[in-house]
Amino acid sequence: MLHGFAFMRPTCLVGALVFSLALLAPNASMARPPIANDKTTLLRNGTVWTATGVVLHQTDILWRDGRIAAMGKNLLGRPDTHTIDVKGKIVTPGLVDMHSHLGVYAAPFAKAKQDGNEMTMPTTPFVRAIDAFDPEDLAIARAVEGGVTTALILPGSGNVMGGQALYVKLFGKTVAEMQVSNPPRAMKWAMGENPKRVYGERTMMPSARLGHAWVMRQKLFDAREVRDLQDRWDRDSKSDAKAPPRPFRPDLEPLVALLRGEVLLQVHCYEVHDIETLLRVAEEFNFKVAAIHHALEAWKVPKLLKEHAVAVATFADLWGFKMEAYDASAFSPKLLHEAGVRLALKTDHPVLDAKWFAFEAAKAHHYGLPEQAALQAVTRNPALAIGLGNRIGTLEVGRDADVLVWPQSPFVIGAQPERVFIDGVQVVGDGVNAQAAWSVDARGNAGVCGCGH
Amino acid sequence: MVTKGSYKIKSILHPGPVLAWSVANSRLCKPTRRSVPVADRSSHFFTSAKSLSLNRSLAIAMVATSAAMAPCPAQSAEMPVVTQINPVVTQINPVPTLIKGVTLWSAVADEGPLATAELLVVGDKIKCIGVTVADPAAKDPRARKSCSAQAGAAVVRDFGGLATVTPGFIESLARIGQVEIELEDGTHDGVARRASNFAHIRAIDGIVTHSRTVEAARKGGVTTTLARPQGNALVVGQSAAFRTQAKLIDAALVRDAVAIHVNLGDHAKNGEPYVGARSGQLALLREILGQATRLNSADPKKKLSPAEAQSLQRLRDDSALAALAGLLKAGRPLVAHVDRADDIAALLRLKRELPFRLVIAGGAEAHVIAAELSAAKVPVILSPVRAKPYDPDNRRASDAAAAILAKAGVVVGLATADTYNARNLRWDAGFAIAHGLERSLALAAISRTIAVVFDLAAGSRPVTGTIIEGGPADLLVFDGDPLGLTGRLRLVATAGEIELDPQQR
Repeated sequence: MLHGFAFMRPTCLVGALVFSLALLAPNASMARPPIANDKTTLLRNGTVWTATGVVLHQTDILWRDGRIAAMGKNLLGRPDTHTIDVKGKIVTPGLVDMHSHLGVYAAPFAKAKQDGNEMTMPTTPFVRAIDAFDPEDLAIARAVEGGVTTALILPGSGNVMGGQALYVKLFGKTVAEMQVSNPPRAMKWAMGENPKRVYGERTMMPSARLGHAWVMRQKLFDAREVRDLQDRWDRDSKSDAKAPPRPFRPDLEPLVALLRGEVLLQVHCYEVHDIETLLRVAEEFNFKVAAIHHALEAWKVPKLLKEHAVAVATFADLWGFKMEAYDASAFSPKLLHEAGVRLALKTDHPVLDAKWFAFEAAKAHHYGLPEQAALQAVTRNPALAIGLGNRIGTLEVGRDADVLVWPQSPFVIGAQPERVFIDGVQVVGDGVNAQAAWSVDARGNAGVCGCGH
Repeated sequence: MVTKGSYKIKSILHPGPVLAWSVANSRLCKPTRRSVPVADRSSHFFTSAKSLSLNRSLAIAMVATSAAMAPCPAQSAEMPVVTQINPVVTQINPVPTLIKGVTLWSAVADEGPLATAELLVVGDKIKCIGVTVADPAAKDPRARKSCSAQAGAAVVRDFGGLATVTPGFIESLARIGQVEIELEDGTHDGVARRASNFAHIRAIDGIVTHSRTVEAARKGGVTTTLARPQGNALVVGQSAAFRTQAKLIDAALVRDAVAIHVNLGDHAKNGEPYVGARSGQLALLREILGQATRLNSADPKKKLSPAEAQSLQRLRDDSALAALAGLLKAGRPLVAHVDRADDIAALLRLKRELPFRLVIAGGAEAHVIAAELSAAKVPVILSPVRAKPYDPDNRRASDAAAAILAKAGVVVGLATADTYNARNLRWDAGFAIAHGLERSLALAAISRTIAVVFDLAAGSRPVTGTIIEGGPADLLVFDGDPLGLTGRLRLVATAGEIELDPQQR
């Protein structure tokens, strides 16, 4: 899908890695400062789906400085508190899309905007989605209208090691404004068909799964050597003023960080034997896999995934478009949930339109995933799988005030939130989409928005 | 294994247009020895043809053409449109079934829901529609009788009054039964290249009914689907409609040569040969349609100069052009797969110049010129129903498109265009309702309207997209809202073939 249809249908793209280390990536220091938002907001009398598994009825939520300050009944605001009555409405956390190509396959689609796959060599762990991300992607404003507040932006899956991911909240004019402050590091790899199709067609390695595993291991051998040299330097030479500089390889730094347990590895991986290969290599080099993505055969081996604490980020019902997507089950979310695997859904935008992310959860619910588990699959679980579980994904005191107000269940057909708050600021609501409003093109086309009347 | 080449062509392959024409004219020509091995090597031919990016439908058209044309004298009559199909009897559930305890939502225009309905299915037909307790004075004639009396030994399926019956749904833009795995070339019908007019390519030749795509669609309530040849050519070929339940296409076929399909706009630029940007595409389409129209309007009694006769014969010898002329003459619609409003407007201009029936498929921006489409009586099969306004061709797509078109008086159908998830067609209808489309029109948009637009009731195995007494038994029973996420499919009847509690895999 990816290669042949790279222009029109950028599917299953590979990953990237956000640096916060001083030498390589000064971007953390550029990340958005807390929004000046000392005004408090109070949502009154909502039916609160907290995504902790609990539903609270007739409950108030109060936030200040972008964080939830209190939840309960009959909360008191200050005289300047912005109070909104949400009686009869459903309040949920903002949705977390942990597999998105927003900004790196920006709309309107054009060859000039195909920036998600650096397919010039099969291992590019050193490239970063942050360098490709275009905040003016028209789809971003639409995604917010659908309730997506946080996304993990991954490079595509054309490469075995695609690169480093970018964590964004979907509100801001610049990359720095949108980037999540002090983000974890995440990296995207891909198993299976895509890399071998891309490079096999050029009679390059990998052209088969044989070469694929070797390409991974070769880079990991190199990275392990660098790590060991660094460890020896730290032990023997750190205090020696005459010693040569600490060994450092910028091209291998992300992999060294992975081996040091500093990177959350997100792997495009569909079939069972590819899952096994991935875990075999992970065991050989002693690193952890945070989540496998797409994973349409994960339902066959829930025990294996649970044992290795690997989360699954999957489609609700997409299937069939290629061999590794053929043996999918619409009941997969239900089965994985029942087996105790950490289950997340995602859009793979623009493969699925990020605007309708909630519909994925709705379909999973239709096929047997319990209602609150379906909510968790698009909020809490992906937040945990990308290392932000202590900040977003649930409605609890202390969490970021990423809050959605739905006129009815988010799981009815065509459901859209009528209000979207990101870090406590109303981005969508009262007929305005603040994320769309600043882009001339989006203004002209979307008529601001058909949202939150 | 049959050894006679000509026999093999008839039995293994569907006759191509020229051969079919010969059969229809009772003048079946005996192929020469030269043409026999071509047919005998058909499997090898498919392999090599596919390696040249040709498709199965085209390969069959070429084999049949070469086998039949070589010895036959040039003919001047127009080609017949309908393919000759072996008379395979559809497998029909032999046991009559009485469905009761349901509310009937017939999709017949102006017909309201009928509570406590009963339907008696016998063979592939709905033999009786009534209610549990007949009321001779009822306003709705269907409520004046009960079906139980004539049910006899029928199997009774009582849904307890809470379920809803709808017609089977019809998908019209997916590749169900044509593409098994999109990225595996060997599992689908390939893409025809190297010409702009492929009107002689027939989707029917490339359909596989034993497909998970067919199964998934049926178990999602899609009982009929339309297949069209693959490819980005300007004129891409002829579509076929088939039911999603049968072992072979001959038994599943509802109607062949349903429509002619044409690509326009950005995606047509990907075809081979390159047909140019929009002005070039329109010029070429105008030329092709103009030639077909000239073929159809040629007066056989008129005495032609040798040059005129030769010129006309050249057009007749072009099998694609001859096929197109036959289809147009038979009144088959030309389905234009197009999104941009300007492209649709260009087609409306073309329609004023030349006589043809036009249907817009895709139509992301059709709602922008809804009034013009309404005035020209051009139906729109809208897809995707959820606007995805990310391409230069569809930037004005709207979630309210179906409602806007319907309000302007345009006949609106809905399609998923999704080979794998056509099972979600009913939720597309639900989405259109959520964005303002009237509920009865939304149901019709995935059943009756499609049947009407594509004349699916006209063949010998009609599909009506409605539930009427004496009509075909294509129907669904749902618990909950048929067009909502709570709706759960309890029964699918496909031409009387009944499946209970169908489960997706």
